[in-house]
Amino acid sequence: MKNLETEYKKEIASEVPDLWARIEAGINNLPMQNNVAPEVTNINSNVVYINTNNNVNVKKNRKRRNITVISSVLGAVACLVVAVTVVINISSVKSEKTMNAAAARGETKSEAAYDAEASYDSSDMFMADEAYSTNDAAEAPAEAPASDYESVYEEAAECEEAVAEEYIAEEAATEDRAEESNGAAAGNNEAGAASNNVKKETDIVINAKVISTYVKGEDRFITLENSDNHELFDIFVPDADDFEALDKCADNIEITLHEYSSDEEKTFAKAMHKQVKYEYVSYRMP
Amino acid sequence: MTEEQFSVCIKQIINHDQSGLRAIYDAYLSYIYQIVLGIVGRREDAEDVTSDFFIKLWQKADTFRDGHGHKGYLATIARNMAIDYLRKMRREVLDSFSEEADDDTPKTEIVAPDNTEETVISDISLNEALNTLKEKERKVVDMKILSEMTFNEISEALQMPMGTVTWLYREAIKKLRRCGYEES
Repeated sequence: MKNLETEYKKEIASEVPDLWARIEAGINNLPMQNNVAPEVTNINSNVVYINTNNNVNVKKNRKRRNITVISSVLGAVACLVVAVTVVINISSVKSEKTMNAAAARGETKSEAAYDAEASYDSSDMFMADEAYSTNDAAEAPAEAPASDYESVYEEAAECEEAVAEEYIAEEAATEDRAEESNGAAAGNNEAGAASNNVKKETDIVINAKVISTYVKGEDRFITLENSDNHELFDIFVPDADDFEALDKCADNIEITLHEYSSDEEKTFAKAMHKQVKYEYVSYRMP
Repeated sequence: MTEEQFSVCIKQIINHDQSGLRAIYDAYLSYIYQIVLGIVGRREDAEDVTSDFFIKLWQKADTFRDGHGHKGYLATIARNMAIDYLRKMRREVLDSFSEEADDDTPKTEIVAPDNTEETVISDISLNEALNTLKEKERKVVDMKILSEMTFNEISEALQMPMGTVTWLYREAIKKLRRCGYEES
């Protein structure tokens, strides 16, 4: 077996012609070509025109380039005009639709206001009591001098203890109130299982709809929507039967609530749930 | 020629001393010629391109950088020039390829008695062995062996899929092996 590569290269090498004469001639011709420099005419400061044999081709190419540039610019302008027209049309259609929808709903409130009310959502309502007490504790040092941390923490601890005591006392009071009101408001409650709380001076009556119910620890709460102003708020429901009865109410109801007005009651409400301002008293179907 | 010798030659060329070019010519004419011939195929074209190569080296000697392997530098320039030439002539080459496609038979038909690869036909010259190849196979073998191109470079130069190039090369090598020539 012969080596293909070696044999092939050897054979080609034996056939290589002498090219030096051609190369030398080519090299000697180079300076002559270089001496024939193109004539440069400076027509203006920015453009340099070179007079060569293919001047006609240069002009043609320039003309072609100009046409290309102009056509591309025109095309871009046309695209821009079309795009702007489409955007304007779309925005006008959208605004018409929005206006129609608003008119159909007959909304008197602004959407922003409604959103603000809606943002009173359950995430705030479900804030843990521990978190609230921590917030209270955190607020206290902010008011106190920065150097006296220990006294501030002591005050916070005392405050928490006071709140807890008040809560226990209020719980007992609520039980007493429930016992007192037992039977008095039975006529109002169509569900029958509702509590019989006595209407007090701080009680308010509103039309509302039950949105949801939830239990935190042993406390029962109901989220209501005020039918008049669509405000969402939570109430504390001491009685389990009332809680179940309200949970089943799907329609608007006329509900009597006790607003925590005194400082003690507000403290109790805070200890229970920071968003709760009312305690359930009674309800009846309108 | 060593790197130092080549650098000296290049300096001579830059100083318009033809002896530098002559030294490079003597040392590498054969090498450059076979590279160019492997790509362009025809001897007349190879002679033109090789001449142009040395003229270009005379003009562009100042672009050479020391210490990067002068042989590879020369081979790269030669290959690029040959491929450029091939591109200029592509239309003609493609036409000739398409014309030959109908009659793509080897010039010399040498068939082994039992038509097996193992059977070696002895006493055949390299030219006769190469004549057993089809035109495309010959082209690929020339580019691979003479021009020392990779399959990828060959596929780009010939505008063929690399699979086709490798297949053509393998087929050619099989045929040449039957004729007593083996790839190194």
